Amino acid sequence: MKTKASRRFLLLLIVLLAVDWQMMAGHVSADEWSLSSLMGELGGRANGKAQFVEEKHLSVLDTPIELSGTLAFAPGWLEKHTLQPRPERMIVDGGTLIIETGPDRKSRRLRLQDYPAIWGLVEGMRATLTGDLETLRRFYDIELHGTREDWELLMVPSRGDVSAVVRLVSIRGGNGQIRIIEVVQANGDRSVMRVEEAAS
Amino acid sequence: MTRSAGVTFVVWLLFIGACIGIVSNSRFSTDLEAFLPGAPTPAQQLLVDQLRDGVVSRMILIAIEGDEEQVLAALSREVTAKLATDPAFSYVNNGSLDRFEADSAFLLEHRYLLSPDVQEGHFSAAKLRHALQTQLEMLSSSMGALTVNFLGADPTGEFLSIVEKYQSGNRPQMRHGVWFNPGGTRALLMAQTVAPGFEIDAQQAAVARIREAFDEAVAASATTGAVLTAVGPGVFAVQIRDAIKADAIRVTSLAALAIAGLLFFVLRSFRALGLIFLPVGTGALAGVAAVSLAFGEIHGITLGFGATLIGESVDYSIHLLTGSAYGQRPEKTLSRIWPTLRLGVLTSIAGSAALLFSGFPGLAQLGMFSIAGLVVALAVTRWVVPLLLPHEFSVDLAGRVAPMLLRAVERARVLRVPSLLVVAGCLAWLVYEGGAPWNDDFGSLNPISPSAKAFDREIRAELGAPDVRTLVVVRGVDQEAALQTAEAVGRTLDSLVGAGTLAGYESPAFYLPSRATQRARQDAIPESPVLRENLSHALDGLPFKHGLFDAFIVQAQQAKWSEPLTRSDLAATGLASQVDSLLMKTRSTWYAILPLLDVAQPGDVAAALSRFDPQQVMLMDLKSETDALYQGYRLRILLYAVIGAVAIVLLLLAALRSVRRCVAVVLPIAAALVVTVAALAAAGAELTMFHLVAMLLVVGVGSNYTLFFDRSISHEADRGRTYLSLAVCNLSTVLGFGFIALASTPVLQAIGISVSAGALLSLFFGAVFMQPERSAGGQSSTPA
Repeated sequence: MKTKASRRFLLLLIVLLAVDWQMMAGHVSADEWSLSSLMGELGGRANGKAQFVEEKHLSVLDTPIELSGTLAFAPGWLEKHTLQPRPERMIVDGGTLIIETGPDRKSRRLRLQDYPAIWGLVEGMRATLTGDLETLRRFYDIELHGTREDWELLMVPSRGDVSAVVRLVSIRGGNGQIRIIEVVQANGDRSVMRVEEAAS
Repeated sequence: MTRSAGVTFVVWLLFIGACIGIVSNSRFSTDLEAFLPGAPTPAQQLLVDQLRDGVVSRMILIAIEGDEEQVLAALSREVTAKLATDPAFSYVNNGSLDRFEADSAFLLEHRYLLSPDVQEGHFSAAKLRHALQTQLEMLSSSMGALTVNFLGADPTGEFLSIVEKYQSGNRPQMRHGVWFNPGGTRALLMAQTVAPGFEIDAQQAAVARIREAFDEAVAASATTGAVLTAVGPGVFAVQIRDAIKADAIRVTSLAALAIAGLLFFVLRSFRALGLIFLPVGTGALAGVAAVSLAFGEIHGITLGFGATLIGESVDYSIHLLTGSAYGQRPEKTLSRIWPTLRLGVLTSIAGSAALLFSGFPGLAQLGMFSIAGLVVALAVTRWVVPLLLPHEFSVDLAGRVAPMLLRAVERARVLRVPSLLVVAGCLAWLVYEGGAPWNDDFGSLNPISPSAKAFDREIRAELGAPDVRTLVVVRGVDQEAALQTAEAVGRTLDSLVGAGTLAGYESPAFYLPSRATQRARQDAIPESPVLRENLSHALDGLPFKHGLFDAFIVQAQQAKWSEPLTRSDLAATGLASQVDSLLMKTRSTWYAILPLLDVAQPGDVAAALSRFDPQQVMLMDLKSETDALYQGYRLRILLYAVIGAVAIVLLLLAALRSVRRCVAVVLPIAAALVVTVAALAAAGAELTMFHLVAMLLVVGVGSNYTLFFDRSISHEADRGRTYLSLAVCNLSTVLGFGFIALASTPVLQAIGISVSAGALLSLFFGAVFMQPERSAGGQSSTPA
């Protein structure tokens, strides 16, 4: 059970950390558009804020669930603050995942170390933040399509413990902005998150 | 050899044969149980049983360190896999999720019997609707990632609430999927042996098995520096035994060698040397045989220390051999020393009898050993040794040394005043200090090094074992009764947790609810048609897919009509170890233990529990109970030592028929004990029960000296030889125990130092205080 739980959290992390990429996607203007130049853009990161609207298509429900809220990040730190339909805060801080949820706003703390799959993934994400493509490729087979103005990053887990839960992660963006993060789970459940970077 | 001598000799040989027959069929035990105290209260009894046999005593904690994290994690998995299939271990855990996944399948299957929320009305339409709405909210939150997996089968969320309850508390960190210390330098495991902690041979085999598994794992890996360390009560018991054994063999063989050397120097005859050891050897054999007959087995410690306890019987043959003048028949010497020797043995027996009735099986064995051994040794000295003594044997040394000793003893009176001052000073100082400093910490007797103890504490902390100080102990006539009472106590504790009186508690009923409770939970599940109806009402207007909850209906019915869980159902899971550590049968009583966490208001807990029968529900403070237990242990030994001392004094009074002489015989020994204790205290030593046993030995040895001083011997030559005998006896005792004092085991050290010092001082004070005013020439020999 715990692994399943961890896989779910892993999913959330993919979403959260994928969002992170947008923030680092600064204003690099590379002449040649390639995975390595995208990574280069992602390598130079800064603090930032964004708004999101997320649609969850779950097999257990007849209708999708819609969530909205804000995102904020700083080096080594990321916060997803859901405002609708129910307030909730998720913070990834170093090796810890903190979730404040429920009517009592109870804070739950989760050591990423307790969940090797997530942990490996987080390391992969950190590698992305620093443009370390080699480490990222230990977890994912990565394909980049499109141009600098309109690109799509397709990521398929290459490790068994990740692919048991996640079928595909697709991130679309352009001009230094991430627009849509879509995660397809192994069980067919799908989550589509539209991101709009706040003017800063 | 005369006819009667021949009969004596044959009887002796037959006796030895019989003893060897008994000894060769004896069972030797090594478990430390015999030396654990009996306990006056049920709570303390439980504590002792737990020390002896409880899950805690069977837990071995293992650390693997000295290489990269990944390597250590791989080794941890390998060792765990090997030990998990080993029948010597009932439970092995390295924190890996495989273990948890196996357990969680069990929890999921039995969630409706294990969840405390399942009560009458739990599955009504209204309650179900509330649960479904909560689930809907969960789906939109991050927790939905957790709950969605179980939504269809478990809409009321029983499984997750059980898991949350079981998983509360500190757990070690995880790295690479297994437990690690916070620094990531050690992989941590725990293994629970099937054998109790006091079965040292079994513990030794278990530790060897762990090492073997580790060595195999290391051989199959590329590691170079990884090392395994195991700690725990059983591991320490093995180490203690090995340490004591090695130490005891080393120092006692040195002591025996030194004594043999001294005696050969005095006797100048191998045959005589052999004869000196004949009584003590026969006595030791008889001691072992007597203990096996009386107790059905003999303990390793009895065997080790018994020889020490009857060491004074070497003195008997020394008296016989060094006491004979040239050309004198040994019978003549015997008739002179026999009454004194006999009384000396009787006093030693009186002292040992106190051990015999002490109520500790181990000490009773020691008492029995020493009584049988001393009696037989004396008998052999009296009847067998003279037969084997070379004709016209005498000690050359006597002619030269005896007169010197005679003069020295006659002048010893000069030291009366200074000696009195020293003794009085020591006594005053002890009184001022409020008696001798006692050490009630059992651990101080532990020969395990402080660094090993520190390592043990460190690993324990890293494994997150909660430091429980307060327990509720529940008694019941059977398992069901104990569990039911534990559940009732649990309801009281729940309200206290709610009020903040304590942070939480553990209960065996969490993992194995009573049969009655499980039945009640089954009754709370409606029958299939009713449950379907309730669910369809509850689902009205909610966006859940049709048929999603079919699994719930089916599984709830399975739970309703299943047999309640028993202890054997838990066997394959980690819950078994949890239950066994909290629920146990001791003799005919079942106990449930509920450890309390972070008790803020102990008084409130006691007040809340006062509505229960105090015979059934006890609140126990572990620290104070343990302290009281050890203190009681020591007090009891002290009491028996005092009883032994009183018995000795009464015996002497009866035998000497004179208060004055009795006082004269006892005082030098008392003075020697006072000075010895004061010296120990001044040197910073704290007294333990082993010092008390040593004091009994001093009384036995010392009374032999003072009884000889008490006798007025008309012949100056005889007196000189008596002093020579005493000097040789004393020197051999001091030498022997002096070597034992060099041991590194605290127990041996305590006995060695106390006895050698006490014996020396007894002789000294005897010489100083017991020599009459005038030369004793005019007095007649006084029969004892």
